[in-house]
Amino acid sequence: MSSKENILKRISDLDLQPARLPEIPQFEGFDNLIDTITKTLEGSHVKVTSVKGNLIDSIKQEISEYEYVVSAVKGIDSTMNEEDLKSKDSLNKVEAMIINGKVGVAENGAIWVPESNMSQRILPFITLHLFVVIQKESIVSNMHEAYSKISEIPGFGLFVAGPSKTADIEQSLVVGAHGPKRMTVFIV
Amino acid sequence: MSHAKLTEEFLKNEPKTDWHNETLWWVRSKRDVSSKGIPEWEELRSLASQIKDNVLSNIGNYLQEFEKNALANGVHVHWAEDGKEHNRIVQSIIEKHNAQRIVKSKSILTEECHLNQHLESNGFDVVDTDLGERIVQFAKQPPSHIVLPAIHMKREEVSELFHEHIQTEKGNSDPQYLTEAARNHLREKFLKADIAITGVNFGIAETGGFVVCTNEGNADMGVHLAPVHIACMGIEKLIPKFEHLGVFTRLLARSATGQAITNYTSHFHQPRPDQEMHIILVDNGRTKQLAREKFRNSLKCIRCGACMNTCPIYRRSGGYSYDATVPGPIGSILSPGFDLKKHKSLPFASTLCGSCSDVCPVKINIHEQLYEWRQVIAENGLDDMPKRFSMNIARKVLSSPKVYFTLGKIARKSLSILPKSLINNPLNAWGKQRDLPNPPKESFKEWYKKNRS
Ligand code: SF4
Repeated sequence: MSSKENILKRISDLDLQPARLPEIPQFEGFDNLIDTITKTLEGSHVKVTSVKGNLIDSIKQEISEYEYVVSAVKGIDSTMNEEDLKSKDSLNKVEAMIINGKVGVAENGAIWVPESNMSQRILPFITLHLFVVIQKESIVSNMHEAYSKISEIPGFGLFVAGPSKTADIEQSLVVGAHGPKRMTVFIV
Repeated sequence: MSHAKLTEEFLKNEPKTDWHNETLWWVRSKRDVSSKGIPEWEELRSLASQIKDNVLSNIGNYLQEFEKNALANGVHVHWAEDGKEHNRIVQSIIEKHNAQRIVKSKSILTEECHLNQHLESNGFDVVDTDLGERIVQFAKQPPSHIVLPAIHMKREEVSELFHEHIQTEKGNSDPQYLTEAARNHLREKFLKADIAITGVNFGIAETGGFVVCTNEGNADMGVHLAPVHIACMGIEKLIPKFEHLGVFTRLLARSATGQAITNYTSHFHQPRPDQEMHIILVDNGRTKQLAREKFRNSLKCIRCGACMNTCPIYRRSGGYSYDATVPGPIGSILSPGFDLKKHKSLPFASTLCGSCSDVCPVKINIHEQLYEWRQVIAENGLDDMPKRFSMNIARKVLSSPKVYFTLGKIARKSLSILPKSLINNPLNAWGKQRDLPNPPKESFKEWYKKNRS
């Protein structure tokens, strides 16, 4: 018998009675979603910019210091082309990556990004500074609402809630472990 | 060696023990504040516990559903009966790809299977990429905590290790500096890796996908650069539906470190077009634990570490005193299931205060199971002889009022005349830091007779 058959047989031999699967109720949300997500993100070392005027201008201003830019947001040009991004060494140079978030969660600051918004899966991680654009209307209260908004499950999808961080040395927090050292969110 | 014996080692360095105790308590306090931030916290715990009840009672079907959906997503699925088979499967994938360089993110399961030792002894280079795990890997130690692998080490020790292994400045123990050095060192490893291995936090039966949570982003750095991803998953990590992630992602990080969510919650369903993705479903004793009705609940564990942070014994004895892959309260109910004889002292490494059960996000009755194991251990005659001997005497004394009364008299008398060596002797662990009390002159019964009757 294969290992699969052995494992499944041991389980079926127990003849367990299926326990009921609970319904997840609707929980009360936040009154002010934008204030809440802003506070949560700022608490996680994220710079939050509430865009009043032109989004493209705001982004351009923020990324002006960077030479190696990859953008998955319309209106912002990448300084690196497809060919560049095929080699790991040039991926390693990326300083600014700009992406669109699909759903934002007020309670914990997590922003859902499907892989179709990343151009490459590695980019939101390997970049020095991650920029995420999120529309006001796509902010929800909690994770239950967020998951219910994800109608199509992508091959890879990410909830990102801040720059890479660690506290593995004596519990003292260091921002910028392996991935981005900085993260900026534009709320439009 | 028993838990008490191993604890002695840890207690030798008193300032460090104090630091360990206080730091973990601080993490526990952050969890308290964070959990209070969610009004429906208790309801979420109940939901999580019920969802896991459902999973465990129906796990055979969920496993098959998971496999079917994962295969349809283009993921290779393997089944392993035990750690050895798991390691063989990993090795065969590595060999098929002629791979040499392996990066691995945190996975308690691979620790449990001793994957690193297996691969290293077969000539492969395995690099743990979680900072805490890299630190303990340099020190040739296992993690001492499931969420904070290097919590037993002070910054000076890390500095020494880094100086030796990645040539950081001697004596520079600034966490910022050391983390930056590790970042550069590991970035090289990520860029060159042939295979990335990760654990799994949640496997979703309904979709055949799985979720990996990190703060450092190390799992993703490995996986998205390497041509092959191997995810290792204990069969109990399943959840029925995608929507259930809402419950567990709200509980996990708040329970673990007090943060609202891990900075990266990555959902894997399909490999990249230029990538191969494997998932290994591992039993390694889990179906045995499933068969033990009283201990079945222990399989609900989502490895948040909260029961360790809160445990008065763990905080003052350190992870290594448990001599098991998963230390602390939950480890003390899992490990006896693997090897009762080896781990027979663990269920006694508890005050049964119940703090672990109070913080557990999936409501495992940890302290009750510890108590259950004690009985199993006693039934098997594995408990220690002096305790068994004295308990037998106590039973006789306490069941006879006459004997109790007479012996009480003798005890009060003898306490004042017996030499201190009777308690402060090497045979009596309790007497190590304690003295005999001053005995009262009379018992309550005698006092009552004189004054009230
Ligand atoms: S037993 Fe509960 S508290 Fe302990 S690690 Fe597991 S889930 Fe967390």
